Amino acid sequence: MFGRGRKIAPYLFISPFFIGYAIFFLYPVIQSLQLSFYRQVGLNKAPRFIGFDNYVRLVTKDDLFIKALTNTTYYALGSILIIVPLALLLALILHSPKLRLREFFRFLYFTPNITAGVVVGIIFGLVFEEQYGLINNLLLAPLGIDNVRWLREARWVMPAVILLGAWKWTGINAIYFMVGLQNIPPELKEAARVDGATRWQVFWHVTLPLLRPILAFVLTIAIIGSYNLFAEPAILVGLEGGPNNAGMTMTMYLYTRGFRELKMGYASAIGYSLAVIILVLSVVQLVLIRAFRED
Amino acid sequence: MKKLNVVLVLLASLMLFSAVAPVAAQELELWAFVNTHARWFREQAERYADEVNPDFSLNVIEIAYGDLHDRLLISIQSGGVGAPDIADVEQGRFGSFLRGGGDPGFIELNAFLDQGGHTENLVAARQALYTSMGSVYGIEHALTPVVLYYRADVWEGAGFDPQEFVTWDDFVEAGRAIVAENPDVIPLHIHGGLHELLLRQQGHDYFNADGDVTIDSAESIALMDWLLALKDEGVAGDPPAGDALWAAFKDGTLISMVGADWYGGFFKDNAPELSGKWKAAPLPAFEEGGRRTSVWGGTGAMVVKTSDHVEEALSFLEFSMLSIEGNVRRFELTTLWPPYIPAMANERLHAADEYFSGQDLGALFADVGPEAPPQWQSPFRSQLNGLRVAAWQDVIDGNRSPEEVFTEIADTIRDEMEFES
Repeated sequence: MFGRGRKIAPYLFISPFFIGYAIFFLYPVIQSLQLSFYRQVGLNKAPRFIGFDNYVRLVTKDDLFIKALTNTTYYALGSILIIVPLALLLALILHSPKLRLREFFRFLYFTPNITAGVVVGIIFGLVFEEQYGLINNLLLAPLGIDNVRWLREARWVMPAVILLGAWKWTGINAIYFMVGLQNIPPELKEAARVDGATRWQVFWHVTLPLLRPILAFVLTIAIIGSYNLFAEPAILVGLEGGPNNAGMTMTMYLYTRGFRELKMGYASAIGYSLAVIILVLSVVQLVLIRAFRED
Repeated sequence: MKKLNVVLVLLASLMLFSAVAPVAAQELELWAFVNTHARWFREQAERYADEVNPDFSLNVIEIAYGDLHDRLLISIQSGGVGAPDIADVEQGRFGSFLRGGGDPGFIELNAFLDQGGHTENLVAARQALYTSMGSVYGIEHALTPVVLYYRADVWEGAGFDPQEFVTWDDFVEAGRAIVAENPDVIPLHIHGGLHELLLRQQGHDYFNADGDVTIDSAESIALMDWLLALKDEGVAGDPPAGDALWAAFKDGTLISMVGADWYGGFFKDNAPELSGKWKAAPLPAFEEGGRRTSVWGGTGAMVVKTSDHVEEALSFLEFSMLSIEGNVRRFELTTLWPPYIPAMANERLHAADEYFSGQDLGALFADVGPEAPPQWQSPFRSQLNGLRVAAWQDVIDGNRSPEEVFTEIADTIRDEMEFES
């Protein structure tokens, strides 16, 4: 009796996690995979099995899905090509021992990250406003640049969201890079300097390769974060993505189809497409920067 | 083992106590998406507790427009988890609840309305918005007659009296003269609902009585072309969105508003400093003798099926939404013109409104109300609006023609209808 109880006890102790995981994660994941092969519309209609119809429709007939995919990829590229290098640059500056008030700046760059997306969206809605907004009136007008219709003109919507993303995410990524920089032994750099390497050569041949694990982490998080982008564009331009759906991201598309039009089967198919895209991109990216290499 | 027994006994007694604990007060929850409605509901709840049921209390929760409907749909779909007892559902979003042809999750009100003798007291064309296959699910808040709100100081200062306008041509002519004097002013701003409500003024709509999509009708396209032509000559314009809209009203850029009764309350809430500067007139007609109003918006109060207090909720709605006092008080607080016929003749609806330069707004709504055109509900309304909103800026900017865009939207909706049939 006792012996058996002792064997069960450890499992009982760790069971809350598994029960929670099974109910709130595993079940919905499996259920939505099943649902993605059904047509289920509305509140009380029985689902009907339709095989791959949802997926086929997504890829071949649904222009809006393709647009959401393009928009999201646009943002992902922006966030990787602008935010990540910017964060690295910022980390190098903040890492410099010569900088005064370093802790203050670190705190400052971190604060956007802990501000709720909805709050950020509302404030930036005012910042980007064309007639009365901050950017047009205080930054562009003194340079003689005409009002940019940030949230009104399709081509400016994503740049506005990327600007917002840069404001929000550069700081936290810089902190990741700083941790990486702190872990690089100073002797390595000193040795390189002694051997006559220039600053640039030290950065390119010593610092950057040693930052690779951090870079892999930051890029993976950036890709996943980009493809999950929701709150900021939703608040800035609305859940339909604003002019010409230019700000419609994949998660917004999933949300509107699923919870606004109650097409649960279709929304599940969108969700699974999104998961596959993120998985493939993350693997490709990890292979590209050779994160799996054992050196 | 002994310890276990003690625990079990404790647990059992706890359950027993909670089961027999008396229900002290009846607290119901209500969701609303505009503060004007919420304010009125709170006042009505207090009155109801005073006069009918002292145990009654109503928790009125204000949730943003989009969120309210999304959350309500989700909680109804999940069997009523977190759902309120009563909810305001906007007519433009009610269609989503009918998607797929199922039960929308609200209490059917036919028997309740018939028994109380209320059915014939409500304007049928408004109730149609909350009716699906003969079942009524909501009680309308407002008749939503559309009028021309205008800045009396600006128009009269320029020598025009919008009360005298008979047709839109009169309006446009006066608008031209005002713009010639002051090119920064926008006499007619093309807000997101303007095309839709003017189309209804002409007797058409985005969906017809049979539920077919008609946004690509010749009338609809011609109307949008006309608005764009007005924009080209500077009489009409594209207003800023969100909070900036109110900034544009306050700085005098926007000098009119083609809006429904509820817009009166919006003015008072969002631009109190313009009090005394506004007036309202019947809409100019498209041809002489034509209809002088339209309908725009509207919201139905509904009782959620999973509520534990259905009887009490219905009794409260009867007290507030189906009484002369409730309807009159709502007009006083929010300028919503009652869709409840017995209230229409009440003299308190004709008090001078300070905000509107002492005008008797009620007389105007009563005058144009009977002409209000019908509007048809469709499960696809909300999706059509989503598509229209996305394409709107391209149409306004002249990047794409109304014909191209409206045809595309209509085809998408027809394709959806077929996919779901």
